[in-house]
Amino acid sequence: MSRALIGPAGGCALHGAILTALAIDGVVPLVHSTPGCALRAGLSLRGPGRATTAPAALPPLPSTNLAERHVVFGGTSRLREQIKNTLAVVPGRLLTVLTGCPTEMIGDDVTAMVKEVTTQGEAVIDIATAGFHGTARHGAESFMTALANWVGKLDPRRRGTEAGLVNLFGIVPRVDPGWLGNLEEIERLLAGVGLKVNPLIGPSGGFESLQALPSAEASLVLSPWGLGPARTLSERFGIPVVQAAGLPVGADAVRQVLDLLSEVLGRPIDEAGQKFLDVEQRLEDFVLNESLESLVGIGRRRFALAGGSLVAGPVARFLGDVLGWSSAAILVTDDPPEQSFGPLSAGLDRVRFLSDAAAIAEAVRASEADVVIGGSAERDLAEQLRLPFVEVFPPSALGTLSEGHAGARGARRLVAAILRTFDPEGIGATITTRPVLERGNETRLATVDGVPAPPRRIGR
Amino acid sequence: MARRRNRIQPRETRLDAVGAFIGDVASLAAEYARDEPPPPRIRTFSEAEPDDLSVALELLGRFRDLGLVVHGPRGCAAVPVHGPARLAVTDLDQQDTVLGSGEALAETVRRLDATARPAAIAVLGTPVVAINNDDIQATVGDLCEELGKPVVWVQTNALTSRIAATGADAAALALVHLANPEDAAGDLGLLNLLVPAASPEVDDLVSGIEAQGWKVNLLSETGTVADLARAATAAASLVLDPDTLEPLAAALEDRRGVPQLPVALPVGHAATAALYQTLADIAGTTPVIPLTPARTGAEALAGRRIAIALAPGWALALAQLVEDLGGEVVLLSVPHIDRRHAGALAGLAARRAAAQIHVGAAQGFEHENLLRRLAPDLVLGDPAAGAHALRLGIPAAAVVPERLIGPGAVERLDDLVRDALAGSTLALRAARGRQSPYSPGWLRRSPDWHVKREVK
Repeated sequence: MSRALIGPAGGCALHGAILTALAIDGVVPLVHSTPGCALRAGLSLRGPGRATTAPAALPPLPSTNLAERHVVFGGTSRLREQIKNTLAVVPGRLLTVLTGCPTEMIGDDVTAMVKEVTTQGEAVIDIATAGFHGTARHGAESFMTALANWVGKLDPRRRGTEAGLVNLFGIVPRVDPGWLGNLEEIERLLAGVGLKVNPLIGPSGGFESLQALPSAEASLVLSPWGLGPARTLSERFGIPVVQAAGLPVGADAVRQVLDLLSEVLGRPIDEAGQKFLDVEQRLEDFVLNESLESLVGIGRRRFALAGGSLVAGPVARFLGDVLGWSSAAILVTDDPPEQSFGPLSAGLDRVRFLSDAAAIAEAVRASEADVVIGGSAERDLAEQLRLPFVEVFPPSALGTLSEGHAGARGARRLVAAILRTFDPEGIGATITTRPVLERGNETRLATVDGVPAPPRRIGR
Repeated sequence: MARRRNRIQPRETRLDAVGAFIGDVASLAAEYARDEPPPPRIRTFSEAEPDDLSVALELLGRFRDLGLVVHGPRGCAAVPVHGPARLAVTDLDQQDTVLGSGEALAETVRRLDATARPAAIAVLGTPVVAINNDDIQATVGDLCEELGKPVVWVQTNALTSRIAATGADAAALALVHLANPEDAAGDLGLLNLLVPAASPEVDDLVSGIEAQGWKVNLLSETGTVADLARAATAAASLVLDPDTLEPLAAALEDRRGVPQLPVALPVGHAATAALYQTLADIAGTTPVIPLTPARTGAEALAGRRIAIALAPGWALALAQLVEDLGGEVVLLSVPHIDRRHAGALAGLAARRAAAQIHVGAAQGFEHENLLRRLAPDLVLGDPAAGAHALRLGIPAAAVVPERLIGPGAVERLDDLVRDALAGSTLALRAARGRQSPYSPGWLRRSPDWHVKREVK
């Protein structure tokens, strides 16, 4: 049933499917829906005020742009025409017909239209991705699952495995903040221990990567949104699924994931791999050592953090396990399936699953946190509450250009973000005082040794 | 009759709007010169287009204390607005599309009212509820009384019009309901200034208008519902965002008796001076005319072949300016064109009959094909069009209408052109090794290959 959703973020299932398709070189999406449905997928990549032009960052996005008469009389003939012309105009290796809400409501026989062209030898599949099926991440998972199924049907007999090849699922392109940076870092980390990521999305993915899915030795799943395709490949080809507790943030988390992978693959990490991981650990140690004075000055924080299931838990774990901070509220905002609540909350306190902006705001307000951590939506909230804000999740518009938080390098960026908030002028330069929240219109500072300081607004 | 006026007519019907055309300016101008509307055209290959819902949401989002409720699946609300906490969606699922969702709408409006405390609430329709035939109007009427504040229906549905700008008409009809002066008396010295966004040039224009003895009610991206109510008391409206805000000014004239000033966009010294003269004449004051700028010619434009990609009102105004300054307009790319643009189109056709016009929103294949053929020296337009041009090795400058307002427009345009040409290394870099995402064979065919006259 529907629900009132305040401040909806991230789009719908159709949008997730579109953005995933557009991130796989050689895969062409074709949206069968009314105007607006497809274009809105790209609008979250921009700020307000540019709703009528296609974002130039995205590849071509063919769409049937159905008119009223198609809704009344059926849109299949328009779809047939659009499929034929898209195959001619937009080169690709796989055409994916994605249905929107109107066409699923009126019952267009999309499968029959697709069959017409597949019998002519064209590579075309149709996927039910109407927005009313769920969130963008849900749509991305459905899309990936459909691709895994298609590859399975295309090449039902597994022709052997490529040693060390690992499929990577659970990062949603242009939806998860820092998706590309995280992807690249995971590739680097796995390469460091002699493994090779098969990423599917991004500059190092593409159609060849799609074809290589059945050849992998394992599938690494970083969020619940990667389970669908991984399980499909497991059922069809017996490829084992390694489910991480989210993006590995920090050197310890990286080691845990790689140990797990190594165990599943039945190959211990060799000496070179161990050396690589030692260097990662030393990087993190070095960063922490450089920041200790500031971190001591900042003191132990009680944080409220909001983010998607890929990053919220892992960032919270790093803050707790490494910096020793305590969680006032950990808010997972991307509506993951209920079955994943347990794994996502493992080892964490005060985790809630909320996607409504008003409910998130209320949870942060009630948490008595003394710092807010999240993205641009939480920035406004922190300003309202007059709390310090650490921006760790960039706005979607910058999501592709941002580095992400995977590994020790990601941990370094996280620490840097914290220091930028609390100690922007240099280590120890301004943090002889520590902000203490007062319930009122102003925040009062107290020095570390407890001597009160004059009131000062914290934040902007 | 009153009922009929409350229904939104698609731009195709109301203004003979065209959303698909590729050809020379003179041919399209000739179509508008006939008694019949231009023949309807469709595309047999199309890329994702905008719809009325996105345009309406964007326009309504400019009023910072207006709550916005989108009645549909969550993706229908995926349009960034300032202050997302005042945007809500009924988040319909598949079951709702079968069983209906009137109560879901009421609950969402109540919840947004409780959490965001907006001054008024606008409810926007989507194709899903249009297909379901949900009665938004009845729900909105009940909620008005229950909440004790205006709740208005915005008649968007993404189905009845192929012209996304119809969403501005739907938004205007809703906004004019909010432009209710209650018992406030008319203010004969107040001018509504409807602008696309704030800018230093808009600020200067406001000062210039005030110097003629007027007060200004600025309706821009930082407008409020109170500004709308005030708008109904004004003596006149001046529209500087013709493609989006003209319907609001027209509705203010039609419903509240606030006339629109029939003046040209104040682009450049002469047009701005003419505006000030008009305003001073109406106010009965001595006009205060700005000094003539140091630069009145744009040398950088002289002899340059220019492509323009903007909304039609501003595209045609810029085309005239470019031609006045010695440039040659070779391509005009606009999302739609309608009868209100016929005069300016005919004017451009008289000067540059062979210039090409591309009518189509977000149709990258057609746009790229035309740019390749025409190879202009420079593209002036929105940033997306500029990015496409750079990928083809063509220098581009982003033109923001609110920065072209006022007496210094020629200087600013000259600076823009100089900078774009001087920075053409970005175009060279963007084009280096680039493969078109479109089939080379199809790029060699006529750009209007997939634009056909509709057979009914």
